[in-house]
Amino acid sequence: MNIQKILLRFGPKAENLLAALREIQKENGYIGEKESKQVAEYFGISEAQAYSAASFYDLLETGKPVKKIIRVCSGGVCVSERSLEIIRQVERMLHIELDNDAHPKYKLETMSCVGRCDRGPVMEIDGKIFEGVRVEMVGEILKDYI
Amino acid sequence: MQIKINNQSFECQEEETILAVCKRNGIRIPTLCAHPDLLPSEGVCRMCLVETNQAKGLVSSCTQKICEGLEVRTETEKVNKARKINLELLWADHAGKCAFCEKNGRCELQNLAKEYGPDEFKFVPRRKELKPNDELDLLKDNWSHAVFDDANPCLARDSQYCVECRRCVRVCKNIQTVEAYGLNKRSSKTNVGTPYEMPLDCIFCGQCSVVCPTAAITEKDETHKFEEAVADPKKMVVVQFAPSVRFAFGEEFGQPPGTFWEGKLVASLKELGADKVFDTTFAADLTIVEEATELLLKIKSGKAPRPMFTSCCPSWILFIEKYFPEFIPDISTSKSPQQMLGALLKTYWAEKEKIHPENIFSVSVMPCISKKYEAQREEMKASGTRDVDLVLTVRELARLLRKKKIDPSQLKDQNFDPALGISTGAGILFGQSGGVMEAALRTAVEKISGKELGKLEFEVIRGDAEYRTAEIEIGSMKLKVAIVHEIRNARKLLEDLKAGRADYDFVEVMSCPNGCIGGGGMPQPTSPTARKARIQAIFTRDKNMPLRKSHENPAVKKIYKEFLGAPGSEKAEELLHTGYVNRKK
Repeated sequence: MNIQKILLRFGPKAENLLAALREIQKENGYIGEKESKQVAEYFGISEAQAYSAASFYDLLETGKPVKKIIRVCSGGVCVSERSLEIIRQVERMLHIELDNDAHPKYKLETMSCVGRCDRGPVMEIDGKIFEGVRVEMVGEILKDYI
Repeated sequence: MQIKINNQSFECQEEETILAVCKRNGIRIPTLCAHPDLLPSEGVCRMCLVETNQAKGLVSSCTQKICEGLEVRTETEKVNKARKINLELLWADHAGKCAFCEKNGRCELQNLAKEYGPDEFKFVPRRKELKPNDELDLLKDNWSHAVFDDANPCLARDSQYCVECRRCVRVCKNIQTVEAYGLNKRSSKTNVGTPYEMPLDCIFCGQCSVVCPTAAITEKDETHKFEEAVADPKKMVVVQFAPSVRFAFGEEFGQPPGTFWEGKLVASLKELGADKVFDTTFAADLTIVEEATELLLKIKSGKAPRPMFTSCCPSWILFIEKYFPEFIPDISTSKSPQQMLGALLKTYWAEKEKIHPENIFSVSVMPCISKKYEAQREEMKASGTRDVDLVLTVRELARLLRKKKIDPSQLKDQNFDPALGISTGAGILFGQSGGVMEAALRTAVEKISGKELGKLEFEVIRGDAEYRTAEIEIGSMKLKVAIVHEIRNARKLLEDLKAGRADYDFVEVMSCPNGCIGGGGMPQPTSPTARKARIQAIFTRDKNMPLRKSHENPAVKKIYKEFLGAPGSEKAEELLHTGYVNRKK
């Protein structure tokens, strides 16, 4: 489906911007320069504003993702629920390093709070969110989704 | 309403903020994000915190409105401690290489640090507190989200100096309506930048660089090119400077706004090694003669259905080219004074002095960032090479002088070199919003009516309202004119014209607040009061000039007689006029 068609499903109001961006992300995989230009035109906002919004949210990609990205929440609550240990576990299991681009297939990143603090720690792969992750569960999750 | 500040009572109006009341009464409160041109404030820098009897915690005085029975204390231990910690946090994320920084000594963050002295940097880890690997990671992380931009012709950006005060975002959005900047990413990775980190592609008015408290956005420093040219024995360095520069230049050396420093400026340029110093004001007079002729032609050719726009402001030209290309035919084809003088330098003057144009290095000192771009335009090559080789802003010139340890206040006044250095009061007026209009009217009205003007001041078009209109009666004819400054008003005017809500014969647009006098390359800090003082100085200077009408400038008369023929002649057309390009995307 092309971007115009997706946009037409939403009224050109500011409160629909995020929803539209998410739909585009779902269809297109990311929100690139071309898409954000169309979004800006449709919502009557500047390109700078459209990019600001798209780049603010960790779950929206602003460039074509070439690798599978594994994200672990680094919000305060998740860290106190030991999300850092989960990061170490992923690093150990996939032999990758946090924020390191070296691996050809995977990349491990931290993400900002997704608002599920009561069910933390939270990790995300490919738009799928896992709640209450324990170190022992990491192996299972990675096996299923990678 | 009365409120108490530091145990003193002050009279104030409702809806005022604490900061506004303090400012009016001379009580200093430090601010990094609040700016007199950018109201309302956002309260993001947390430097203006004060203690009140209404709230338990500290409040930001730039956003807190006053209320009955309010008692404010601006300098308590609690306040100072909070300011100190906030400052320390800002420093922790700041590049902080002060000694080598372009803004050294003129940086608002540095000044605050001097005042509040964060003596120990708790938030910047010291060497023994980190393992070697952590240190590297920290550095990598810091670098990974730094953004630079030097691919555009005018501005240099380095996000490592940024304190995220959002002034540039607001000035671009609220005053210039261009919205080139946004606040990208989030939390510690937050950056002020363009969409997809593309090189800046705006109208280059440079207002962002004037309001930036640090060196995150500065003019592209090109002072080294000047030094190279002066050192080159083959090059003849010829400098011109704009009308408005002489009224603000002194501020860089501690003078109050509005100090008239023409002779000192010429002297300091000569001290720097310039061979000749000419006056852009002379070319301003020439611009007026050409533009008035163009306007007269347009009026005489029947009732002109569309207005004529002035063409002196390169940001305004870019704005039309990028956003409203349908108005391109309505812009006056006259070049801006800078480019006129540049073209004449390398043709008329070079011929007269028997110098090869390639050996002339033509420099202009401007209040403007956008002139850097204008000088690089493809069309601006009347002599075959670039007419203006280098454009320096007032700030760059001052930086160069400081580097060479030259103090203009110690120098003896000198005069312009006479060939292209005679000017009139009309040309001087170019420095502020409404000036081009007034100068053009002085010439046009005399030419249309054939009679000499009694009173030269057109009071109807003066003032600092941002969108002024007037009807000028010339004999039986009525000339409808409009003057706007700041692009938001220009946009309004264009939309008015498009919708048929207004019609004008002659429109003057300047992109910066109050015109060139509030330009993007002017000394910092800028504020409405500073600009008012500069404008007042311009009016005083105009009044004291022996010649106050452009067409009476003897040098202009001479150049038409010797070289150009008549206004609008073929040669004038070739050297003094230009064309525009549709750049809409």
